Amino acid sequence: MKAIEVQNLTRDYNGLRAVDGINFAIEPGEIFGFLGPNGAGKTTTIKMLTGQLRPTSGKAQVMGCDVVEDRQHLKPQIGVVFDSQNLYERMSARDNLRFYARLYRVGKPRVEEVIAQVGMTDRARDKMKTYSNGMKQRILIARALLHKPKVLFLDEPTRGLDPNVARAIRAIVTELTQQGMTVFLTTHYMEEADQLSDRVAIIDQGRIVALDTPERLKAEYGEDEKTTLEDVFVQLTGRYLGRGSE
Amino acid sequence: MKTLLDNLYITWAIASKDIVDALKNKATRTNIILMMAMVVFFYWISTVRPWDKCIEVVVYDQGDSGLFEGTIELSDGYEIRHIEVSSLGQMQRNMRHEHCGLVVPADFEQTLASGDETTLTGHILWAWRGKVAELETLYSAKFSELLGQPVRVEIGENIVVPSPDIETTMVNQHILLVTLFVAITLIPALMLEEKLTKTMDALLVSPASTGQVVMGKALAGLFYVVLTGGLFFALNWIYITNWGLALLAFLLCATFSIGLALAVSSLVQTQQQMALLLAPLMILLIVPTVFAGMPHLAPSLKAIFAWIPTTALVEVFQFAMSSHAPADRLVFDLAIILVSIALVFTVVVWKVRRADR
Repeated sequence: MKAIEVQNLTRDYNGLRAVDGINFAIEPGEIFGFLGPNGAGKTTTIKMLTGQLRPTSGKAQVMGCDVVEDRQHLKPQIGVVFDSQNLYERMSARDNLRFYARLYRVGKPRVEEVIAQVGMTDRARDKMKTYSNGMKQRILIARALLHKPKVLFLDEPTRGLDPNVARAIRAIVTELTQQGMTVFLTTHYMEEADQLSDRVAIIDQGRIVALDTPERLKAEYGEDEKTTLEDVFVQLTGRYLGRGSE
Repeated sequence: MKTLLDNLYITWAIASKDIVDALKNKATRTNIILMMAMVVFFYWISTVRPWDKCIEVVVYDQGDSGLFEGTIELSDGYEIRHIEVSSLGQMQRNMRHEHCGLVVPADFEQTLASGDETTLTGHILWAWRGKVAELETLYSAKFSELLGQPVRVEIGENIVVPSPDIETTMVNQHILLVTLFVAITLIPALMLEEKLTKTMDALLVSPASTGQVVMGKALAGLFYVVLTGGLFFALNWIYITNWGLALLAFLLCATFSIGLALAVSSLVQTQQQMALLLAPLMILLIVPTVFAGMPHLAPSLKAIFAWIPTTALVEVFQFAMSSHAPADRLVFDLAIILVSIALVFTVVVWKVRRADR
């Protein structure tokens, strides 16, 4: 069974096509980088795959669960780190996690376990509003891991973080995949995608324009061995800012 | 398939989080305290009335003695005002709040002239049944001072249970206002905060469904509605003549208010939209309840106001504080309220079902 399988997935918003018939499949334990410019359809795709948004057409399954028909079975299989730091600011980190632990029917020891896993034990009793962005990001990851999901969706997990925190978060992600977790990652940091992802899909205007390992993409679209994933990305998606103005 | 217990467990988890969080949030905490203060304030102005040193007497003068004329000022700042009526029934219908209904016998002037102690029959409203002895003493002292010789006012069992057609107090409007305000200020605020901070997204990828989130907010709102309503009834229990009807009216009022609050929160995305929607809605729901009870209101307006659910709720509360509830009006009011509840919850369910589209 594939971890994620997507067939002709399409989503329209008020007549505009945000995601246009995309297809891909992700193996269990794989880190799948999903890259694209702003407004390309990344977050819409994540919303459909996590059951928050109904596709206009097409099918998607996550761990064998249909994202429309089987949402109640889908939810325990997935963890999501959103692109916004959506935590309850007036509550402590521990209380935030305990609240979600109740929803997932997970015991308090597991809460302490995930707090330790993201290295936040010392500050767990402090209110979220006293946390830095990096600390909040760790708690978001802890929340997504509470119920030991099989697939983790990370929507720009290191955006706006300093290099030390970003590196720590990448280390956590690597550790999770070593434990067999599948990771669906969106990021604007091409180096991060290159370093973490087993395969990368580049989406532009709702369509997947390239899908392969970072090495093969660089080989296929690059001019020499110095070509980076960012070069490939710009070449495939940068018609307005780059090639168009030249 | 999720069991009912699973649903309740998740709903309660969300509700209990919100119940605690509402107290941590400065805005909602202020609203809750304000509503509690409003309950105490309403009690103070409608029941305690410490400034009130006016004895209003509804006089049924059987012998046309002309005992009371104009406003009479007494010692201690007290004054007596009177309303003259021509029958016992009229006297009972004209009694409001702490009015004293007084029957002056036909031979009153002769008895007074003979110098014997005179006894007058007093009547008080149901709400003051616990103060019979106190009011007998007060009225006896004040009428003795007025007439310049000993007069005894005997109330005894003359307790007047208000007619359902007459609003003797505004307590029925106060309970509606408090319930409506608690629900309408709290629930949309809780819901809107989840939307604005995007914690709603996190809830919806957890095992919680949109319906459970909505029910959790409703339950948190209900907690504070019941708390405020509990305080209200603890202070104003003296007015209630029919507790079954009073509790039914409160249950319907709470359900309607919560449904309305949920409908509002499902329709708005920002604080500004909420304010824009709530202001006219509150005017539409509250103003008619004030005018509907007025005796000289145009029949056409009265007929229109009767179809507004809050007016119906106020009337049911009034029946719960009256001698009886006229069956035809009670059935009409309950039908209006139930249809309104069904309508607001239809909007909520419709919005919930469309949440992922």
